[in-house]
Amino acid sequence: MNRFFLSSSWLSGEAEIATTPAGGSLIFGSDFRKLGYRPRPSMRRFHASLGRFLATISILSGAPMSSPLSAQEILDREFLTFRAKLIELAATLDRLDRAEGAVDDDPRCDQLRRGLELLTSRDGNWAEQMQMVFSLPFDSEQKGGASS
Amino acid sequence: MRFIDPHIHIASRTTDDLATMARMGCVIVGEPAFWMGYDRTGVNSFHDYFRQLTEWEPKRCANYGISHYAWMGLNAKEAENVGFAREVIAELPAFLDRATVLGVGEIGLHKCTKNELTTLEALVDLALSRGEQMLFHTPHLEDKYKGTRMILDLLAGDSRTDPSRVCIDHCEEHTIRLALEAGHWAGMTLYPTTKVTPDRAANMIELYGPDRILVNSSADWGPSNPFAVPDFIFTMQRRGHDPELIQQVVYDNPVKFMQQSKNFTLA
Repeated sequence: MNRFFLSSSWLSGEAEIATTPAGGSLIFGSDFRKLGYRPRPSMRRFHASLGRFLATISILSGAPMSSPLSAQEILDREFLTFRAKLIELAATLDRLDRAEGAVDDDPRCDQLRRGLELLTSRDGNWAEQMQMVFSLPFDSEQKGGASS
Repeated sequence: MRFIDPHIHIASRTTDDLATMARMGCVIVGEPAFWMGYDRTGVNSFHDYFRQLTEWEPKRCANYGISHYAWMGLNAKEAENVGFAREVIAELPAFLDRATVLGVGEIGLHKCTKNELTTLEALVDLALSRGEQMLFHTPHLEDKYKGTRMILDLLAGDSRTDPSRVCIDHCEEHTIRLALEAGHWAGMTLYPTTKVTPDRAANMIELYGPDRILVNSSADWGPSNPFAVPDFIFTMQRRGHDPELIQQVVYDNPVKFMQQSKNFTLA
C-alpha cells in the first residue's frame, strides 16, 4: 500500500514537492511559501502544531477501490471542514481548562489524550486505530461479563 | 436513484417520513424487531409488537409504494432476564412463518453479559435450526469491538452457520473487516452522532470495496434520520463515484442479501 505524506518541512523552509508513486503530484512542504504564504510570528506556534498534524496525513492508494478524487481535490474540498473540526476540539479544551475543578484523573481524559496523540502518528489507518482507543479489550476466553 | 433501507424502524416513523422516503426513491424497507425505549412487562407486549411489524406496518408502507419486510427477534437490551427471554423466544416461530418475515433479527449483544450471551445462543439456535437468515445488532461505543468479536466467535463455533446469510450490522472502522473476513455481510448504520456518518461509510467502501456491504438508517424513536441512505447516495455522488457502484450498495446488495430468504420477492 502506498502512502503519500504531506510534509511539515514548509515550516522549516525546505522546498518539497512530492511525486506520488501513482504519478500524481502533491504540492506541500515550503511550497506554501512559494505560493506567497508567510505566517506571522504570533501564529508560528499554531502553525507548528498544525504542521505536525498535517505531516501525519496520508492518502492511501492500492486499496480495493480508491477515491475518484485526487488528494489535492480532497484537500481543497475538505480543508475548511477539517480546520473547523480542529478548532472545535481546541475550543472544547479551552472550555475544560476554564471550568471549575479538575478532570485529569478521569480515565476518559486519558482516552482523549491517546486519541489526540494518535492523530500525530504516521502509521496510517487512523480511524480504525482511533476506534480501538475507545474500545474495551476482547478476551477470547471470556464468555460474557457479569450481569447487572 | 431507487434505494432500499434494509434496517429502519418504521414503527417509529410518521407517514410524512414514509411519503418523503418514497419521493426520494425508497422502494423496499427491512424492519427488525427492536427495543421500544423501555422494557416491556409481558410476553403479550411482544406478541402485539410482532403483529404490528407483520400486519400494520406493511400496510402503512404499501400506501406509499414501499414494500415492507420484517425480522423477528428479541433485542439485546431485553435479553438480560433469561427466563422471560425464553418465553418471548417461544413466540417467534409462529411469526417467522409469516409471509413478509426475512429471518431472525435484530439480535445480538448490548453490554456483553453472560445472560445476554445465553439468550443470544438460544436465538441463534432457533434461527439455525429453522434455516433462517440472521441480522445482528452489535453493541454501541466501547462495547462494540468486544461484542462483535463475541458474536463472530459464537457464529464460527456453530457448523450450521452459513456466513453469507448473516448480516453483522452497525459495523464501524474497527469491526467491518472482522465481519467481512468471516464471510458475513457488513451493515453500516448512518446515525447523526454515534455509529457512522455518510462520509465515513463512503471511506469504508473505498477501503474495502462494495461487496457484501449494506448501508441503512436504522431510523428509530431516537435521534436518527430516515433519509440517511439518500444522504449517503449524495455523498458518494459528490465524491465522483459511478452511479452503478452506488446502486450496487443501496439497491443491488440489499436485494442480493434479502433474496436469500424464501419470503423475499421483487415486485
